[in-house]
Amino acid sequence: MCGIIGITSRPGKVPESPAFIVRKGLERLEYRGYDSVGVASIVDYSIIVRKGKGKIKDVNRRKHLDRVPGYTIIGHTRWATHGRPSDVNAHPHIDCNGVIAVVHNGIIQNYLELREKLTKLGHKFRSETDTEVIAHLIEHFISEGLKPYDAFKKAIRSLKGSFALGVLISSEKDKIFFARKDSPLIIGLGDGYNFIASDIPAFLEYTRKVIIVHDFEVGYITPDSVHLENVLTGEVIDINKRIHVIDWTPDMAAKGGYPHFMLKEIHEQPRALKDTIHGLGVEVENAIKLIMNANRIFITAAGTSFHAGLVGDYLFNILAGYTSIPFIASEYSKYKNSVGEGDVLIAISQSGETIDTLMALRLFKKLGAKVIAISNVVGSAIPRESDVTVYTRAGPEIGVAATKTFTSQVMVLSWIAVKLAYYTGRIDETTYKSLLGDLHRVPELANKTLTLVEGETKLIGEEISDRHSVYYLGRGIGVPIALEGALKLKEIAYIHAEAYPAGESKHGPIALVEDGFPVIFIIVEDEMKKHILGNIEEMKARGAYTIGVVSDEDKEARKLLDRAITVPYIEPVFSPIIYIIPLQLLAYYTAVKKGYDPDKPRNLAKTVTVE
Amino acid sequence: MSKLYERYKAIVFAFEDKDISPLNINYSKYLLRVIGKPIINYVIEGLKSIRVSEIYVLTDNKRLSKYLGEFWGEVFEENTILTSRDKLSEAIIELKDMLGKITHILIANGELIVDNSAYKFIIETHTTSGVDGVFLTVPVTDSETYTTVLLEYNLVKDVLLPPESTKSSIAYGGLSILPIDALDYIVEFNDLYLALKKVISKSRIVQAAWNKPWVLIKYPWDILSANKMLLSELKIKRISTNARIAPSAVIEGPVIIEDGAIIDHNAVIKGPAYIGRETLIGMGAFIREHSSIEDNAVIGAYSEIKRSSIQVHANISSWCFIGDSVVGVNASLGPKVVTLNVLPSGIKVSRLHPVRVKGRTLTKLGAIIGTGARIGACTVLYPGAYIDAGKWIKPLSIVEGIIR
Repeated sequence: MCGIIGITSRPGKVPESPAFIVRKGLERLEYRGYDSVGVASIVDYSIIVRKGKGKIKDVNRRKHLDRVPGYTIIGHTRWATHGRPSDVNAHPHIDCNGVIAVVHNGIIQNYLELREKLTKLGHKFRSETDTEVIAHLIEHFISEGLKPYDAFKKAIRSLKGSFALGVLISSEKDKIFFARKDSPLIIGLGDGYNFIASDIPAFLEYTRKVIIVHDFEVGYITPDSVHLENVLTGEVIDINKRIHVIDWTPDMAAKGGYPHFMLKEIHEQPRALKDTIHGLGVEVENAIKLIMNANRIFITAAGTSFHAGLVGDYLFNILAGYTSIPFIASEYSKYKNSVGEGDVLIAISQSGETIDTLMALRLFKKLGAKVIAISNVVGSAIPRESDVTVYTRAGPEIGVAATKTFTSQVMVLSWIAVKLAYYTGRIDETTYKSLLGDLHRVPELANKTLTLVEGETKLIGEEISDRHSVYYLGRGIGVPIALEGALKLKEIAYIHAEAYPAGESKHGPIALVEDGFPVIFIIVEDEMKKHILGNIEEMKARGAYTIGVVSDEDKEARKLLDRAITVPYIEPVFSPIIYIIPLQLLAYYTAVKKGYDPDKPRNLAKTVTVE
Repeated sequence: MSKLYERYKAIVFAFEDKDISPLNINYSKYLLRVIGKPIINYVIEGLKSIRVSEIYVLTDNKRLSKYLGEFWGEVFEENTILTSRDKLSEAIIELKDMLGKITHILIANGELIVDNSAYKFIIETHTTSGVDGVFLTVPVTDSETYTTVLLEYNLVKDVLLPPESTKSSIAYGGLSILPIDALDYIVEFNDLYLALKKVISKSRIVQAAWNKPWVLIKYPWDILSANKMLLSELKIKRISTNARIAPSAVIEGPVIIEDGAIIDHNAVIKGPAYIGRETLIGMGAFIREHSSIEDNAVIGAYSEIKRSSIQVHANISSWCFIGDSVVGVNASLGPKVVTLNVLPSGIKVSRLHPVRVKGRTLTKLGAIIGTGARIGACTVLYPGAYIDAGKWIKPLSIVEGIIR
């Protein structure tokens, strides 16, 4: 996901300079990506490009994006898909002669084929991105004698994949060409100025008159006009019939039909998991090589990522027969005298910038250990300083409470554990294939889970919203699920929630249980289940209100429970990805019932960058 | 420049159904009151709040059709099409001529009760997503009683009708924006839900995920849920200056008392509760939380009403206990009629959820008393008792519960 914006204006028609407006618009699109940013402007029939890696604020400080001259400007904020975040890979991308600039949101599926073709024709590519082919393709068609707009349309017809595009061609000094297929694109209409953008909030301060561009529509804006046509049929569209005036708040658009980012991101999990699986490649093999040659394996992370790490720890032990040592990142100094060469640290961080994890990583590196990073942000600090990085492909996560990044991290760790088990001969080929097949089915199961459990979890969330304390209990693989479920409830619903291995109840915590005390059980279909059933009985005997996440193959537990949330059966070792979904929803609906904003929990920041 | 919302036109489907009988017999489901308003008015007000340009109502109930013309004015008289479910196709063909050239249509269920912001939400979702249409969706339990949807991320992939609907816990919320082709599909299938299925297969429809309170009135006890939902939001006391309240009456918590209501000596009203126009709350009567006493209803002396809906012109005599019940329009209860309201354990009624009362988990449902029914003095109505419309029950009777 990336964000694009473009403005073309007559002088004096907008209250601030167009470059300043573009920079502000990009900041409003930052939720769509923030690893690099850039702008291009037409000045005196030539194109100026300023771009760089980093957040908008930082790049602007370095490159003064908002001081670019000109009245026809496009901008882009990037979330890396093809090519790591770097100054070169940042958009806009230009053709060989620097007369065409392109900003793009989406993925060009046939870019390799086009790139090869254009390279043979003598085009020089600077970046690793798919987008750059578009600039060269337009250049190529112009060189064949087509007029700029016709060349642009012909280029669009050659593309396969998804795109929302903004294009500058230096000879057309007040035009921004645009096209859309499967990625959002909106036109904003002003008096003497017009916009294009990925979302309405980007220009909402300047106009409320919008046109939503549909798939296969192309055209161009000038300060005083909009041309829109269907690229397949050539039919010119009467824009007057398509103008909407909007009167809503800017952040609605980003949420795409969801009241909160957190709910949106919970629902994005099937897609995030699928993308993560598709993105797993040679890095996994490299990571496994390091693990196989390690003396000891340490796993470190903070918060939700640590819980993913605990799942990894369980899987390394159970599946692959490797002992790992998980520790909370801020406690890294404990290992300052024991770590050495040959050890491997797996550092997990969504942002790749978590300071505690980074400090642990630096200590381990200094002591000679190798580091494998698992992160969601390409090119962030932790991946940069690691020997191998496996990326999750969850996309930007805006809600402070981690959801889709947790399940994606668990997917990566599960994948590594299964391969490790196979490579070390702990499982045979049939089991290996079967387990990988199970992992491939997880996105679909996650979708099914979301569909099945939301009603029940909403009801339970409303029921427990007036309680002051909740226990989350599990055994084996259920323990990290319980820990993560409890963390979610704590951080967004502000209810004290404690998770511990269910066997510990009788060693102390059960003393707190009284009539109606909610206890949430994680009941996985493995050999620990019979013990969990005993734990439910002991809690019921003390009047607890028992809630359980159970598999649809369960026959016993749901009879004991006051409330059962049924999820589809999954191979027990992969249960965290599925079982956490109802617990995320439970926390969400509890918070909503209490009137809290789950996206902005008090006292918390998305990325913790201070020790 | 017109506002965005004015570009939408809406069709409200308001057909009678038997799930809510006996309350709609000789009456209309959509005219039953929820906190002072006929059910249909919630939808119309919702649509008006987003300034849709035209609202059309399809109904098979003459009484409703007449009401709409009288209450909402001439335009509604013209825009209400009286038809039957099996002639839906013909009605839609007629309607298409009236609609003129539009690209999308807003479809609403007449039994929907939801905050007006839900209407705004689907329009915002439609304009911001740039897709063909939007469904309001709501997570539910008891999905066997709803039309549910299958989703892939936020895209609606299928509509499931009961009994298939249990495959999902996300209900279609009774509100959607659809491409205009949907009307052709309704004509083709003579059915709204089959048309929705086809729309989904042909277009990109996203969900607008509603996370706030919402009720689709299907069963009689849904009126109680709607009462509870709306009264829970009531935070202030609002007493009409035209109400007559005895000095010894106690009005506690958030309570609405409308024009012309009479609250007699020593009556206690414990909010949140609603007391409609021209009602009489007799001496020593006790109106408890989440109750609504609709216009012109009478509550006799020393009667207790708890979490119940007493519809317009209903008459409860003295010394009655009415709990978790719906008393239909014009129904009349003799003195000392008692409803029992705790269902035997193990009995599940769709859309009724157990409540915890002092450490015990109970499912509560009293009686459903039909339009114009008359219950003789000292009658005991068992949990879940249904009294048909117009039926007379002899004094001193015991009416067993019938759970449908």
